[in-house]
Amino acid sequence: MTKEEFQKEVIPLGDKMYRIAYRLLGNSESAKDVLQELYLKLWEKRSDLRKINSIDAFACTILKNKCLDKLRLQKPTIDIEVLKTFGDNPEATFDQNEGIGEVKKVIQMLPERQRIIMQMRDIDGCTFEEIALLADTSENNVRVQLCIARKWVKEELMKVYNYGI
Amino acid sequence: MEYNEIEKLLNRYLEGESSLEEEALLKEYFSKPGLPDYQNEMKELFGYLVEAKVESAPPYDVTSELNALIEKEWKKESAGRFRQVYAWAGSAAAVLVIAFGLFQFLNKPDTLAKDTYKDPKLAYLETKHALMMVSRVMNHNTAKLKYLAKVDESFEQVQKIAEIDKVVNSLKK
Repeated sequence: MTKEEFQKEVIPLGDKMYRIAYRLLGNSESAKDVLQELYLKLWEKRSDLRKINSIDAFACTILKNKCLDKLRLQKPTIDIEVLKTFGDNPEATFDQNEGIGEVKKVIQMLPERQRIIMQMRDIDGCTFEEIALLADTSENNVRVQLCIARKWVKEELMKVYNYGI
Repeated sequence: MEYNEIEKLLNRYLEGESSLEEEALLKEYFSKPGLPDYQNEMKELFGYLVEAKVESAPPYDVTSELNALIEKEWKKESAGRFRQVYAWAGSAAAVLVIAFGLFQFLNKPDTLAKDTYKDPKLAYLETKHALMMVSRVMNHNTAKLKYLAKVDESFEQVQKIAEIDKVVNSLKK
């Protein structure tokens, strides 16, 4: 892959990759670092990228490992098993200044795994394949989790808006 | 978009079956103003999702930052390639110089020790002939050296004049 092809096909994934890194790491400084490391790696591997089915998924796998490394360094005492599923709650630092709307409040009440899956899909625009890679599960399981989360959110919102809770 | 089409999409969304494109359609549809008073919770949900995407945008220009990073890496690599070519050319030149030197050395025509005669007897005779010639010339020339002895004799006579000189000198005193 030439430099021009790389800039045309791989660099546009940067925005989504940043969002994923931010979801996993919870702070923008770390997300930026990891994104840079990811792109150095992708650039190094650019001659192999043509042979890969999905550059997105490939990038996701590298990104996830880099995030896990970063989390291990940040908090050496934290349980690795927790990291394997998902990182910290980025919402802690996520738009702190904004008043929390009803929808956001409801989404925050979801179990962490379902919440992050829904955020990655519905806000960050990740594919099922990417989320499955990041969450160490099957695409089918991602769909199931997403279905549960969306239905639950809809029901909760119906309560809020229809009954004025 | 038709009402029942939206219904269908919403169903797919809730079942986790919709594609990213379909979800984009839903977000677009529900964020339009002046929608009828139905599915209000979905209006809220999709409105929030669109807004959250904008809010969670990276706080810096990811694309230009990454482009700059790649440009830098690319320059570093091309500089490395350039040096490599030079190093390669340098060693190739050195090898050529050494090879040329060796070629010259090994191909030196060795006229010094080359035999001109194939028959040793003939060579012997020729050598003898050459040496005889040298000796003849030498003898002829040394014969002339005997006149040098006469010069010596004359010199002795001159010495006697020196004696006279001494006597004259003492007389002067």
